[in-house]
Amino acid sequence: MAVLTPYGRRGLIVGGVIVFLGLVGLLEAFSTRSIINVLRTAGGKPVAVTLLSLPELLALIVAFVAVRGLLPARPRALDAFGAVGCGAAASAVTAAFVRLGPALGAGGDGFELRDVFIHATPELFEVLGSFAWHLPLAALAAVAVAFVRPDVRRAVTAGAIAVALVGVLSDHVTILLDHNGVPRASTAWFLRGKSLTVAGAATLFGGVAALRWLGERFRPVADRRLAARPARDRRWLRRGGIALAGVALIALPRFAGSYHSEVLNQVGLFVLMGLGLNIVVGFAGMLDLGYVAFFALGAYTMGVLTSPESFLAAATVPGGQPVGPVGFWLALPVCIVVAVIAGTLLGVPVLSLRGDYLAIVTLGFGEIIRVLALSEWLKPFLGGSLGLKRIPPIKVPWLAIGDGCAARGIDVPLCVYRLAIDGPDKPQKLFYILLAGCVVAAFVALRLKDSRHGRAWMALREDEDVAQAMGIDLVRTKLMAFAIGAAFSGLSGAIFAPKLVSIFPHSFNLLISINILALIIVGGMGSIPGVIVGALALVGLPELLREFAEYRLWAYGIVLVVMMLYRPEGMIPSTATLRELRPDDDASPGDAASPSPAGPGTAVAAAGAEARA
Amino acid sequence: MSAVLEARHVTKRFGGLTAVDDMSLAIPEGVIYSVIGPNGAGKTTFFNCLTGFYLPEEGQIEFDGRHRLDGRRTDQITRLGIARTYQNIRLFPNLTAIENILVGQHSHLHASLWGVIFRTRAARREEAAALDEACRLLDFVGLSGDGDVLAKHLAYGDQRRLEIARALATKPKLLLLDEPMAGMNPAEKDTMIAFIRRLRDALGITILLIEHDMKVVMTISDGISVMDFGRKIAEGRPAAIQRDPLVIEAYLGRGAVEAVEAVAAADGGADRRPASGDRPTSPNEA
Repeated sequence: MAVLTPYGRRGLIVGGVIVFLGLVGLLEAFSTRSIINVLRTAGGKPVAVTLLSLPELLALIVAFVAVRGLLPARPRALDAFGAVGCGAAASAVTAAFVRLGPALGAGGDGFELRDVFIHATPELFEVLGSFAWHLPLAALAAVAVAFVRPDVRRAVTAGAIAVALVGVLSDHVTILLDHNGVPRASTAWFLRGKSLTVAGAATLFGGVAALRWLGERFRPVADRRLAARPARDRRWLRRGGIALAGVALIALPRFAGSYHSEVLNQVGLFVLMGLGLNIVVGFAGMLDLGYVAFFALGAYTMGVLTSPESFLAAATVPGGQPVGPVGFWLALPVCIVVAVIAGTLLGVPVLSLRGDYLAIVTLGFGEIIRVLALSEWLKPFLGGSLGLKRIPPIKVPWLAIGDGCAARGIDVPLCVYRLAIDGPDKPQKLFYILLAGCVVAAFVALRLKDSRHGRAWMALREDEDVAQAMGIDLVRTKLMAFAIGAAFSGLSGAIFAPKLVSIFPHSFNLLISINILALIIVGGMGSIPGVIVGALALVGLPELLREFAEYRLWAYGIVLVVMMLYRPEGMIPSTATLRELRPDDDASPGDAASPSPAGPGTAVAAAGAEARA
Repeated sequence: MSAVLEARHVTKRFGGLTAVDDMSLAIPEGVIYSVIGPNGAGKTTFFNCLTGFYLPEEGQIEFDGRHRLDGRRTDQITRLGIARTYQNIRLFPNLTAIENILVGQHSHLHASLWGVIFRTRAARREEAAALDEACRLLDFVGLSGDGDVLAKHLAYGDQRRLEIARALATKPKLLLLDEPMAGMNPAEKDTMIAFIRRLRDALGITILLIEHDMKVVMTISDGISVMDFGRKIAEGRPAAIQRDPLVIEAYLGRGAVEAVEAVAAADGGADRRPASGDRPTSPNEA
């Protein structure tokens, strides 16, 4: 019996957590999201009835994770029994709440549950009641999962995640299908209303799981085959892959439509900043909590330079000529330079600070920039709390040619413009600018990572004293990290300003810094693909789940805690570059080293050979 | 023989404690020189003064007959040609073995930011050559094949050797080894002795060593300085040191001076302290 006690206790906790999720309003907010539905006839008419809703899925996930954490690697019968008991206990707590909760509110004796928890509405009890007794299912699933082979388990997990994601976002899938002219009738078997059908869910689950399993099964074989090919072939294959990805990204806005391009743009801004902060925090290990400052500087510089309402536009040069606003492309390098200078200036006073102290000082710096923008003192220049307005949208010369042609009724042949053709100021066009920015930033970060500069940063992160003892100039190395990080953020800000047309100091608060840091941690410190995935998950997903906005920070907290506990290396951990056994390398060391026979390494090599002999 | 390193009257104080007290030392080129002394004698603090980690309050340190070291930053001193290893191994744990060595080469690589981003011919060639040399160094310390292993996943002895390879990557004239044999068994120590000799004989690197194992020290050293309470109490060739009454007293306490022969036979007696135990230790040797 002692074996079962922890299961029972865990069950009570799970029940409590689910009731808590309900009381803070999360479950109710999500109750309209259905993941799988079925058709039932009610009164002669077919009605879509939810089979699995998002609140239920969340509750099942909580129960599943809780049971899974308790189960030993090889559960025995008693464990299985305990697991189901755990689910039952959770269900009992939930059901008891559903049963007793309304009574607490309707007693008329002066106490109302809703006075304390405003979300304790009849709808909540209905939502909770709809799945209160389903929780043992999650426990059973957890037991079952413990028995299956790891490869099957991973395949099943991948399938389940796919169904959950597509199901939750099915309204967006519908919008995208409509936008691309896919007739609803042809997808009716898959999507019905705003939810997957049973057949759709099964197909999706089966397909993704099979792909994942086959991928895992045949990956080693494919890798071996590939390794057997000459390096040139592999290089071409990689280039082909990059080209394919490029075409897909260029075509993306055409298929994404206006709203989803806007979401992608939002993600793009954060990818840019994430890539920059990743250099400072992920590579060089310097915790910067005031990173938003450079974003603000980029945006404000862009605003001041390009807005016809800014003080600069009204100013005159000594000769009496008005300065006038400049264009985006002229202002862009200025923004980056301003950010770089600010990054360097911030770097100087914090050079000798480490860890917590550095974090506090940078935190202060971020706030100082915001407060300055808000101040009366700089109001004539930056507009104080009213901000800067009428920042003109970005004009892309290349796309403008397309605009001109379209205006004259000339049919533009298939080019990038055609893919985005929709009108002059659409988010699709901004997407290309952000895409270009992100590609450049990722490229720079990638190249730097595997260079002497990147290695110096990582040495700094690992052990500052030893790094210095290896001949690394700490001042230069740190300032370089700050400056490059600031440049990316400044670029992001410079695109942000014309995107929003108006900018206000409150757009640049501490939360942005925290947001970027969180997406780096969730994606994987020091990992460049991690930044992109992190931005998609922490910026894109909440953007798509609008009713979620209220719970965004709350969810960040949970996600960060869960990540730190279960996957501290992030979703896509940074991997060590293989150097000794380079599978594909552009410069083979043999041919590069041979022209310099008396190179610095030869003495050591000779000595080594001698010693072995 | 000219002195590759000459320290004159170096003094380092921490508050009221004088960790290194009027220490003078001249190390001729091409020797293996040891600094020994009981725990807390100030040996590592002295190393830290040499490498610029601490700024000594008094005294001068001269390197290669030309460069004053006191007052220079650690990275500048490294670039002049002094490398070191640490008493408790301090590799970059989350970098691979090769990357650790490549970091050591940092000051000999010159690719600029632009060169790296655009992967210019010069930068590419330099990187490839650096990689090549890193592989050779890896081979030199007997770690080829482990290049792509994270440093923290290497075995203890391999970590010691990688640390030396990383120090060699800075192309030093003088290599400071802080207790390179700590935690090794007799067979491993013999291998390490041979290895250190090889560093000197094959690469021509002068070696300054802190070591506790008397047998090792007496076998390997061309010259020895003995420190106690931050001061140098004796200096000379191994045979002379073994008979020095001050040294015996420092290691075994008063009254042991008569038992000279016993000291000569003593292995690992270095850890014995004088009778009184209330002496403060320097912060770096705690």
